[in-house]
Amino acid sequence: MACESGSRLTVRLLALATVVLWLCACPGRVAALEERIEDLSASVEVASIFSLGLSRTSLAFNNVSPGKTQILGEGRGFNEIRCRSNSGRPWYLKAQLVSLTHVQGAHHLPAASLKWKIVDSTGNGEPVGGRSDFHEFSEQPALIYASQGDDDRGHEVILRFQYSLSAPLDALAGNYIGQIVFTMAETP
Amino acid sequence: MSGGVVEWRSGTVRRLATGPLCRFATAVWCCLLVATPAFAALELSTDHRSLFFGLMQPGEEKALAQSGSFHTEVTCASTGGVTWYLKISLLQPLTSGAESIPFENVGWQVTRTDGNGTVVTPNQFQSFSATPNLVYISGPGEADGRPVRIQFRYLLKLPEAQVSGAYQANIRFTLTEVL
Repeated sequence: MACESGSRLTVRLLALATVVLWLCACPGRVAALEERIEDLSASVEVASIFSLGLSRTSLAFNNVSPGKTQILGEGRGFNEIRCRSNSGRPWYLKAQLVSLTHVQGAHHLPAASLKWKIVDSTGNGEPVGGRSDFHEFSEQPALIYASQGDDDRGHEVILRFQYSLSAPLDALAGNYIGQIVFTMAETP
Repeated sequence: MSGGVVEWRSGTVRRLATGPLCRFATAVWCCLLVATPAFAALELSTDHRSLFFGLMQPGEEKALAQSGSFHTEVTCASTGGVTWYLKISLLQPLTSGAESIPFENVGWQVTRTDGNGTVVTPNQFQSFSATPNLVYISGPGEADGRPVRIQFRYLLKLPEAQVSGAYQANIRFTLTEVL
């Protein structure tokens, strides 16, 4: 009787040990079978934007007397430049005055006769020299604005300009024509 | 002699049938039956069409598949006998180097299913998230091995201010019996 009881106990212990071993051997199998996974790739190519736009491309100063100054765009400004880049790299806006030449001869007005001022900006940077004063044009490309912060992530930066022309006292009478070139570049 | 052999054999069989070895084998077999988890035969497959949005301008919006159509078909099946769930997630934002497109700009929509279960957000785009979003809850009789097809379309709205580049990510479908 005692032998049979011991035998049953042995059997139960062996069975229990077998089950424990079996469960320990395959826990991952139990968990993994509870779910299935499928992955798909997603992709997009975001286009590159690097643009410069200018409104009102003709600056006409009328009848400026020698020694006098005339301003275009008093108040909110004369025209605006729109710059946009999403390259993620800094960009720079430069300006130069190619010439202000008398239409009937070789006489020039000095580049410094014409000045610019940024009166308003939507960018994160500040115009070179600030917004309160006019700055002389140069015959060489000169920096007028450098992008800051999110300016190079696709935000459009709008710069509103005023211009002033001061005719020298010794300026010859007549019409003068010149060309202002704005350049947007990733090199300063 | 032959009668003795028969008697010996009968005794052996009787001893084998009622002996400790048999009881052990029976006990182990019964325990394994009880302890064996109900293995759910879950099956999940897709048509393996990647989400290729191509070239897009900042600010542009593009859907993969027009309204009423689909881009991806997911097939789910279970013989587990219990309710199953399909979930969807975006493992990480669409990323290009250090730049990324926010989760909320990428959406998914169930356009159709042949199942009788519940589409959690029918007929509307939902933003992706890294946390799996519940898409579908199986209905009656859908845990008997019958395949259920669920069709998806996708939407990407590029922010106005987004740095150019090639962005990539992975979306994940999860079929599970855990809500």
